[in-house]
Amino acid sequence: MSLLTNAVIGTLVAQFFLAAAGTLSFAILFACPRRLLPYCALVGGVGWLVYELAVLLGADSTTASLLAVIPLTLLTRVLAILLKAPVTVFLLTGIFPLVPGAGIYYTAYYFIQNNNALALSNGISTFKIAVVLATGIALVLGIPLPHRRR
Amino acid sequence: MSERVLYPDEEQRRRIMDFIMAAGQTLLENGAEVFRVEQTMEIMARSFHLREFHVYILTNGIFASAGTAEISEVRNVPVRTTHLGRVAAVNELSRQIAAGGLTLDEAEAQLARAQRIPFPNDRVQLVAGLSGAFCFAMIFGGTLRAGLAAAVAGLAASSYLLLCERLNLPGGFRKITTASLITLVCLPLCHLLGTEASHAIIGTLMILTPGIAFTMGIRDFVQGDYLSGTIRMIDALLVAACIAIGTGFVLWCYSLLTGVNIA
Repeated sequence: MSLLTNAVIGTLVAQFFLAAAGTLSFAILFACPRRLLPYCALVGGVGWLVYELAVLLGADSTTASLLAVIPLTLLTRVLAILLKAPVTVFLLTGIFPLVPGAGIYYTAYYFIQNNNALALSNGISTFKIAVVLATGIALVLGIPLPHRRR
Repeated sequence: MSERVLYPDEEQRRRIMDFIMAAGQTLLENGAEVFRVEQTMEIMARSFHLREFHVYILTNGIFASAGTAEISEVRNVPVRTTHLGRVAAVNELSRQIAAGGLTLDEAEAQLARAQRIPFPNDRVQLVAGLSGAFCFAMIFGGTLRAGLAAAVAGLAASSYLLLCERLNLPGGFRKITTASLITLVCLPLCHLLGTEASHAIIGTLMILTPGIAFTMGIRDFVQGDYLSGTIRMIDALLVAACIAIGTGFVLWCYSLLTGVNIA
C-alpha cells in the first residue's frame, strides 16, 4: 500500500507508544493491580492504533471509534480469560484514549460561551462516539463463550 | 459453625447477607459496573445457600432482600472512586467462593483485606498525572513543547488534587478550581514556549474529564439499567460543566488582560 510510507509508519508507532504510556498512567491512577499494568497499556495502545489507522484510511471519528472498540474489547476478553481478572480492569483503562473526553469539554465550554451552534455540533458528535463505543462493547461482550458456560 | 451448610440458620443467614452486601458495596464504590455487581452478589448468595436472594442496584445504592423478605438491607453508596485493584480482588474472592473453597470466616477476612488495598503512594500518583497529561497533549496533536507544558500542568493539577483529598474539599469546588489551575499554568507556559495552548489544556484536563462516566452511562442504557445510566450521565454533564466554568473563567480573564481572544 502506497499509503503506508515510512514517515506514516513512524507516526503510527509513536502514537501507539504515546497511547500505551497514557493508558498506563491512568491505570496507575486507577490503582490497577501491578501485574496487570502492562496488559492495560497494551489494550490502550492497540485501540488507539486501530483508531489512527482507520482515520488514515479516511474514516470519520465515529466510524473509527467503532472500528477501534471492537478489537479492543476482544482483546480485553482474551486477556480477562488468560489472566483470570475482570474485563472491567482492562476495559476501563484501555478505552481511555478513545473516550470522548475532549468532546464533552468542548460541548460544555461552547455552551457556557453561548456559542450554541458549536455546542450542539460538538455535543452531537460526542454523543455519537459514546453510543458507538457502548454498542461496540455490548456487541463483543455479548458473544457467548465457546466452551464451559455455567 | 463457619462450615458451609446447606440450610444456614437465622444467625448465619444474617452474616451471609451482611457479607454479600459489603462485597457488593466494595465493588460498586470502586468502579465496577452495575450489572456485574448484581451478578457477583447473586453468585455469592447461591454459593452460600442463601435462598430467595433478590437484589436491585443503582449507581449509588444497593437494595437487597433474602428469604422471602425475612432479611432486607439497603446501602447508600454516595462516593464513587475508581480503584481497580479492589475490584479485581473481590472478583477473585467471588471466583474462589463459587469454586467452593472458602468458608464464610475466610471470605470475610479476605474481603476486609481487599477493602484495605491502598491507593498508590503520592509520588507515584504525581508522576502518573504528569506523564498522563504529557501523553494526551501529544495524542491530541500538540507539539513536544505543548506536551512539556501539559506535563508541568499535570504535575500541578495532581498535587492540587491530592491536597484537596487531604482537606476533604467538596467535589464541585475541587473540579472548578483544578480546571482553573490547569488553564492558569498552561496559558503562560505555552506563551513562553511559543506554541498553541489548547492541546496542552485539553490533554491535562483528561485527568478530570468524565469521558469514562459518559461512555459507561450509555453502556448502562444498553444493558437496560436506565436509571443507573441516567445518574451517570447527569454526573458526567455536571463534571463537564464544572470544568468548562473553571477553564472559561480563566480564559475570559486572560483575554481581558491581554486583549487576545483564545479558543
